[in-house]
Amino acid sequence: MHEISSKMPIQIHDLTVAYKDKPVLWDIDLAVPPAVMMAIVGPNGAGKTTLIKSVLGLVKPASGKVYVFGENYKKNRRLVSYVPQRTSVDWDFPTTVIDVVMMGLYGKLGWIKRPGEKEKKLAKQALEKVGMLELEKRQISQLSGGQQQRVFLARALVQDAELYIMDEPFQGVDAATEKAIVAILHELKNRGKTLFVVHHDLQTVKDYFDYLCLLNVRLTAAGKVDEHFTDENLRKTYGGRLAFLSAK
Amino acid sequence: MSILEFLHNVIFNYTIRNVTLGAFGLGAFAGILGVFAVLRKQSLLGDAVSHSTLPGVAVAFLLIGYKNYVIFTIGAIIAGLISMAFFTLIINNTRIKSDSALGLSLSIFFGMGLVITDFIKKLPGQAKGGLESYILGQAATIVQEDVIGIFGFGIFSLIILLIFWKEFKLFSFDKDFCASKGFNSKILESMLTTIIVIAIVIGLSNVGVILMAALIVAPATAARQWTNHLSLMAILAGLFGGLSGIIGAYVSSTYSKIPTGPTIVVAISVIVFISIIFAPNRGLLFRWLKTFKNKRRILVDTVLIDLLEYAQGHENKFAHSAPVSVLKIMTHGEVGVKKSLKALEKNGMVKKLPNNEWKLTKKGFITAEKLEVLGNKRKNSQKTGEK
Repeated sequence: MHEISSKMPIQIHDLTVAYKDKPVLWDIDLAVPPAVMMAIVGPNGAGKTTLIKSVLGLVKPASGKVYVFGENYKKNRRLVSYVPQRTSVDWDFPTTVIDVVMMGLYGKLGWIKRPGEKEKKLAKQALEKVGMLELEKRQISQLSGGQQQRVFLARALVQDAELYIMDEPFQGVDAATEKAIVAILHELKNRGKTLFVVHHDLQTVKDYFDYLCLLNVRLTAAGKVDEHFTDENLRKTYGGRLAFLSAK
Repeated sequence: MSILEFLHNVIFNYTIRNVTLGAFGLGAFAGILGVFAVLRKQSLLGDAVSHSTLPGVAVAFLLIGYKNYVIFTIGAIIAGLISMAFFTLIINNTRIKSDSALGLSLSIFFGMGLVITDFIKKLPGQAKGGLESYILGQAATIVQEDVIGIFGFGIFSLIILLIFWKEFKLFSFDKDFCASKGFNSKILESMLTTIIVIAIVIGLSNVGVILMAALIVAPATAARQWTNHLSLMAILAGLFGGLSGIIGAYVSSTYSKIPTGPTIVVAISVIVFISIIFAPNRGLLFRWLKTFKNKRRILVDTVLIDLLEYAQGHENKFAHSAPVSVLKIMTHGEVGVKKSLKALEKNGMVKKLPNNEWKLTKKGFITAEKLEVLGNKRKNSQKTGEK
């Protein structure tokens, strides 16, 4: 464990990603230090989702290298917990809340081996943390947006990872759920875990995060929120589109 | 043929036994294996694969010169997989969208199949029996080897499905997450595609390439209506598919002119139709009933609030009553105002006066006022939300 916690959770060197011939990410250099909560901020189409997918090895870079705790992602994927965008899956899929949370343990189980009582117990604990234990047997199509996000969060928590990579965990959730999720994320950070989170709402960056990276195909700024969340950097990232949002 | 006679024949008549077992097996296997195709929204893929297998069968016939289930099936599987590879190639290297690409590979392969089949027909002195049946399907040509083949391929794919159940489930639900946990997408994708190709191919001689896709899609669609659990859905899909197979075999062995394939498809279509209308929770009937009940409840609340508003407009609001005609105008001519009043009367919210007018009771006033406050709150929150 000591070894892990001293290594850089994410290190990106000269990363370029392109779809067909259009660059989506251009020459990114970024390091995410341990035990921080870093927001990935930028306009639509800036490559935020592509950035986290390249860290997870889901997208093949045109060039560049990505290291997770100093190694190839494949070697350390057990230390990483990924929360995709809530809208990326079909919530009418025939399965239950507890089942989705147990999916978080499939990676540890490996091929073929089935989840059993031990996995169920862990899943229940994770559901309790997000306040969803009463709904464990609920069919997932009957959940509200906020509840869906809590289920995804529980699926991430059950993995007991060191690095949490999340794609817009606050998208379409109610204020109460947002508060609850933030509290859980802060608790993770205080326990020394690292969080790398795509975030859309500029108003809350300062309240929720201590680090950020500003992205619009190129990386415009990265580092501590106090130093880098400035009007000038936002203008650089959003161009003319930033009409009335301000770092203040 | 009566059902009893049919059962007797299933046991003692060689042909009918083979036809029935074959039809049952293909329906059941296609039903179960089709579940993931439906959940991954790849119904069209099934159609493309099934049409694309024809050249494989035809080439297999050209090579060996007679009908053989196993060789035909292998030919069909190879052609199906090649068509899928062709489809993937188009998608990855051109700007053609997936529906067009499917249509393209479907017509190219089916066309090739028809050309080769036609060519074989014109060859002199060949035993061509059985090849024709691959287009529309004819169970009468089924022999014991076919049945063994259907069950052999079916059980093989079923075992694969059971072994990798967990992986297939995660892959179908959340592909990116699945890949991030180290389950190779390409391997899972090709395994699932192969399973679907096999599911289609085992039914070809019975149902034919044109209608086989229906047997992949329909049982799973019907099963989804009745359950929210993946494993139960697969079991139900198998039962529905198997049942329609038996129905198809029964009908086509009773009336010799009726082909098996279309009968099986009609049978499964009836099951789908029933499931879409009558299934609890997801069925249309259930939804209509729910909407109707909601409408009724809203109308009852509306009438209650209307009575309150009408009374508030008068000096002594506790003594004031309203005739039905006024309430009808206030609800913009909704039908069921009288019924709503009766329902309210039952709950002790309103009272009917001797002059046929209605007035709120004390309980009615309290409830109506609560409802009104709630309604205003909702309106306000909507307004602030718009800002």
